[in-house]
Amino acid sequence: MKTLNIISAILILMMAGCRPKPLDIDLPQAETKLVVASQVIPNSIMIVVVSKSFGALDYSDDYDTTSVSPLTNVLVKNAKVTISYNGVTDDLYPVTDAPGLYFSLTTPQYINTEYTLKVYDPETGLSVNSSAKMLNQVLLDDVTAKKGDGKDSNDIKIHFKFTDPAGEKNWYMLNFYNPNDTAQSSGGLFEPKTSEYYTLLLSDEMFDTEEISGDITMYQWTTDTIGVSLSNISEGYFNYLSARKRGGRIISSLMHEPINYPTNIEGGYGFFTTHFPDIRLVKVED
Amino acid sequence: MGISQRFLIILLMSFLSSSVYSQYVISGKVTDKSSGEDIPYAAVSIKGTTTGVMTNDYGFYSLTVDNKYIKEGKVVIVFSFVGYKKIEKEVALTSDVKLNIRLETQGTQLKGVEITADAATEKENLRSTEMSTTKVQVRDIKYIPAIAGESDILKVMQLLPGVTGGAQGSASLFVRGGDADQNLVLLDEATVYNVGHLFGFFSVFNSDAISDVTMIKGAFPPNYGGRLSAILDVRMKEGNSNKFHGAGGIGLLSSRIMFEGPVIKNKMSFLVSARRTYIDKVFRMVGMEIPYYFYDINAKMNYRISDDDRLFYSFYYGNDVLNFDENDVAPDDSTDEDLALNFGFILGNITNTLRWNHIYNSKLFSNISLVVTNFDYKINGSFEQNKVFINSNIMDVGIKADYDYFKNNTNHIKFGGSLISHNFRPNVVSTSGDIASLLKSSKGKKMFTQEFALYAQSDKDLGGQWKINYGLRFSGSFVKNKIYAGLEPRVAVRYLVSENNSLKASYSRMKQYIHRVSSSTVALPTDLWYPVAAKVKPQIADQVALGYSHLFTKHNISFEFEVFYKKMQNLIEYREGANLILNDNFEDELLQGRGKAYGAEMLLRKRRGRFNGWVSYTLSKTTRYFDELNKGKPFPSKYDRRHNFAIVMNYELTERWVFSAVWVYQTGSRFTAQIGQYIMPNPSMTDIDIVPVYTDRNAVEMAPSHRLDLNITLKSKKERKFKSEWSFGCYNLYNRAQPYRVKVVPNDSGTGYKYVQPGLFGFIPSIAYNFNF
Repeated sequence: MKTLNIISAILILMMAGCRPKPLDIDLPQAETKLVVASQVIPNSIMIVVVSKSFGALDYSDDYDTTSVSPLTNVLVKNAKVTISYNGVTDDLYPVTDAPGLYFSLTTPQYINTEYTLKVYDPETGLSVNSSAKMLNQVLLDDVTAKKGDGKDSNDIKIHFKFTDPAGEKNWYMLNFYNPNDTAQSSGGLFEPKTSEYYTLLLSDEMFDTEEISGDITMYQWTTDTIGVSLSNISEGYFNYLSARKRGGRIISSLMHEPINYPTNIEGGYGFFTTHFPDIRLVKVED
Repeated sequence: MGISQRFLIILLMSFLSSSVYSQYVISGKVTDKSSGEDIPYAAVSIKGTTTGVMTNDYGFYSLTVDNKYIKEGKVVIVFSFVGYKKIEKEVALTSDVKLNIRLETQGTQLKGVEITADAATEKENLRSTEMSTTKVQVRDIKYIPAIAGESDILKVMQLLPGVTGGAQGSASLFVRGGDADQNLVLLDEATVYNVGHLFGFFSVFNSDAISDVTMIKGAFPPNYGGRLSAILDVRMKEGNSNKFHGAGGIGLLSSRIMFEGPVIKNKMSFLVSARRTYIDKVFRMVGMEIPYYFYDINAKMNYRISDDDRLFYSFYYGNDVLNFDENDVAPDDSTDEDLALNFGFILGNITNTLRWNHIYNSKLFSNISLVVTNFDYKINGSFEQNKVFINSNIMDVGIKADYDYFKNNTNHIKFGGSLISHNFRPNVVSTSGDIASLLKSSKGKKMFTQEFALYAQSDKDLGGQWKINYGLRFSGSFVKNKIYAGLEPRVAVRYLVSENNSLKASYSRMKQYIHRVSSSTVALPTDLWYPVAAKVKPQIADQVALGYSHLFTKHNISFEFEVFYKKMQNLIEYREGANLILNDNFEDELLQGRGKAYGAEMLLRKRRGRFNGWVSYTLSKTTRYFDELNKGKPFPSKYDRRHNFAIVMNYELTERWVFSAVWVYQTGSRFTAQIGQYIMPNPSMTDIDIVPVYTDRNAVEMAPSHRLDLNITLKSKKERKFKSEWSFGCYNLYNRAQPYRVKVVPNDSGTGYKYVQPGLFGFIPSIAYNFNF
C-alpha cells in the first residue's frame, strides 16, 4: 500500500507538471461609449458626470482604478453638454479641477417637466442623449438615529418615516452614509475605497398605507452623524439601481448571474436622472 | 332444449375449444446459470419462426404458442442473450407450461465495449418500437479509458450520441438540449439527486455493484416520467445465489472491494460493495494538505420466497467529506497567531429500495417497490468565536407498482402507478458569534409535495411491417394550495422495411415537478432541489423523433440514425444578478421561459469480435427564450455544442492483452464574457463602482475540446482461479486544454492583457489493479 501511495504521489507530481497550456481566444471588446451619471441638488445645481467606457483588457496603469490619476483618463474633459426643457436649452459647464463634471447653476427645476440631456465628445466623436422627468420631491417626515441597539455598541439603528403621495405609483431611494468615514479622502467622489454607505430601495406597492416607515441598522459605523437622503425616483431608475445592487462589485460577479444593466442613455451607458433628494444630517443619539 | 340454448352451448364450446386447444402459454424466468441473476431483454422465440418475445426488466417472459407451431405435441423454444450460449429447449405442450431457463455465459470472447445484445437480440431491437434508447452492460465498459483509471458509467454515457458532458471531468449529462437537472437518475428505482463525488469528477456508481444502465433520451415509455430530457436507469447486481464471489480494484485515487454470494443457496443471496478514495493521503505525501475524501457502500439482499415471489432490498450510502482543521496544518514558525479555523462539509445520498416481484399467472407479472431516499449536505465552520452550521436535505418516500400483462405475443400491456412524497428542508442555518449579525440563524423553509402518476401502455404488433407502442401517463403534483396535473401521451411506431432495416417514429410529452437551483457561474454539489409552487409551474417538453436502423449482419455492425425536435415550456432560469446562496426566497429570482432543441444523431457500432466499438456523432442546436433575460432576445443554452463526436475502440491484441482508445471532439461550450467596463458613482455619490459590460448571454463559444485517452490491459492467465488485470492508461494523451472558462492574463509581450482559456486536466497517467475470484 505504501508503494502504491508513493507511485500515486509521483504520478500526481507528473500530472501537476503536465498542466495543459491555455488556449488563446480573441473576443471583440465592447465599443467605447459615453457614460453618464447625474445629480440634482434641490434649488441649486444640476450636475452631470461624463466618462468613457473601456475594454475589459484595458486594465493597466492607465486604467488602474485603485488610484486617482489614471481614473481621469476615462473622464471626458471637454464634452459639450446641454439640457433642454420647455423649449429652452442650457449649456452645462465643466467644473474647474474636476474633470468629467459639468454643471448648471441656472437651469430651473420644474416638477413634472421632461428634461432632455445631450452630450457630445469632440475628442472621440461620440454622442449620447437621454430624457428624464423631474418628479416631485418627497420629504422625510422624521428620521432618527440611535446608537447601541445592536450587539455591538457601534451599531446604529435608524428610523425613518415619510408620506407617499396618493393617486400615483412611486419608487423611492433612501441613502444612508457616514459623512465621517475615515477612509474618505479629499479626492471625494473619485477616490475608490470601501466607504460606509447603504442604499435602500422601496416601492409604494410594498406598503398598505400612505405612511411609510421603517428601521434599519448600520453595523459598526463609527460616527456621531449619519447622512440620510430620500429621493422619489422613476421606475426605470429603480430597476437600474436594483440591478446595481444585485451586481455588487466586480468580485461578486464570480458568484452571481452576469448582469447587463439597463440604461436610459441612448448610445451609451449609465443613467440620467433628475430626482430631488431630501438630504438630512442626523445626530446619533446614545 | 330449445334452439337458442343449443346454439349457446355450441358457441360456448367453440369458444372454449379455441381458447383451450389452439394456444398454449409458456412462461417463466431467464436467469444466469452461474449467479442466478435475472436476465432482462433476453430473446425468447419459437425456433424457425419470427414469433418471439423478450423477457421483461426482471427476466420474466410469456410466450403464446399457436397450435400451428406444435408438431406431435412439441415445440422447440430458443433462448438467447449476448454473452450467453443459446439454448434450444423442446417442450411438450398439452397445457400452459412454466419453464425457467438458466443461460450459461459464453466465455471471454465478447469482452470489450458492447452496447446491447447479440444478433438475435439486436434483431429484436430492430423489430421493436424502442428508439432513442441505449443499454450498457457495465461489465463491458471496464476497459474504456477514464480519468485516473476509475471506470465511470456516467462518463461512458457522455460518449453516446445526443449526450454532452458539462465542464471537463464533470459527470453532468446534458441530453438533447436539456439541462443537467432534467435527467432522472434511478438506482434500483430510487432517485439519486447527487450523482457525483468530488464536484462530479467521479460518479457515485461503483461499477462492481452495478449490472447495467439504460439511457432513454426520447420515445419515453409511460412508466417513466418526472424529468424532461433523459432517464438513466441504473440497476444493481442481485448477488450471486450459487457461489461466493469477490472482486475489487486498487487505483491511484481509490480502491474498492465487493463480495457477493448465497446466504441460502439458490434462495437467498447478498452483495456488498465499498469504495473509498485516498486523495487526502496521497496529496499529503507530496506536501499538500487536502483533507478531502469520499466513500460509498452498496448492498443488496435477494430472497426467492417461492417460484412466483421474490423480494429484493437495495441500499446505497455515500458521502463526500472535507474536514479542515488548522491544527492539522504544520505550524507556521513565522507567526504565533492561532486562527482557530475549522471548516468542513459532508454531503451525500442514501437510497433504500424494497422490491417485491410476483408472478400471478402465465401472463401477469408485477413489481412493487417501496423507496426511501435522502440527499443532504452539512457545512460547518468556526473562526475564533464565530460558528456557522448549514444543513439542507431532501427526502423522498414513495411507492411504485408496475404490472406486465402479456396478452399474447403481439400485445404486451403495461400499467401501474406511483406516489412519492418529497420533503424539502433547505438552508437550515445556525450561527453564533459576530457572524450572527451578518448571517441570521434560520430554521429553513420546509416544503412537502406529493408527486403521483398513473400509466398504461400497449405494445402491439399490427401485423405485416407495422408495430405500435402507445400509452398515456397521467401525472401531477400536490403542493401547498395547488395541484398541477396533466396528461403525457406517448407513442412510438415501427415500420420494418426489411429484415435488417427499420424506420421508427415517436412522440412523447414529459413533465417535471421539481428542479435544481443552481447559479450559472458556479455549479456546486450543494445546489438545492425545489418543488413547483404556486408561482412556479411544472416544466413541460414535447419531443418528436424519427429514426432509421440498419443491421449489417455479416460484419455484426449496426447503424442508427435519428433526428429529433424538442420544444420545452416553463424552463427555469434566474434573474440576472440573482443570489441563490442561502436564499429561501429564490422564487422571486426565478424566471420561466421556453426552449427549443433539434438535431441529428448517428451511431455506428461493431458489437462483437476482437475489434469492436462505436462511432457517434451529433449535430444539434439549443435555444432559450426568456422575456426578462438577454433583453428578450433568444440566446443559446450554455451547453449548446454544435458538434459532438466520439470514437470508442477496443482491440483484443491477444487473449491477455486488450488495447482501448477513446477520441472525443466537442464544439466549445458557451459563456457570457465580460468585454468592457465603466465607472459610475454610487447612488449616494460617496463612492464609485466599476460596472462590467457583458456580451449577450452565452454569446461566446469557447474553443473546441478534443482529447485522446488510451488504455492497455494485461489479464492474468485464463486458467487461474484468482483472476487479475493490470491496467495502464492515460487521459488526454496530447495534453490539450479542454476549456472550461475564460480569464484575463498579461499578454506575451507584457504590454497588455489577453484572454485565455485554461483547461482543468492535462495528461493524467493511471495504473490500476483489478481482481476477481
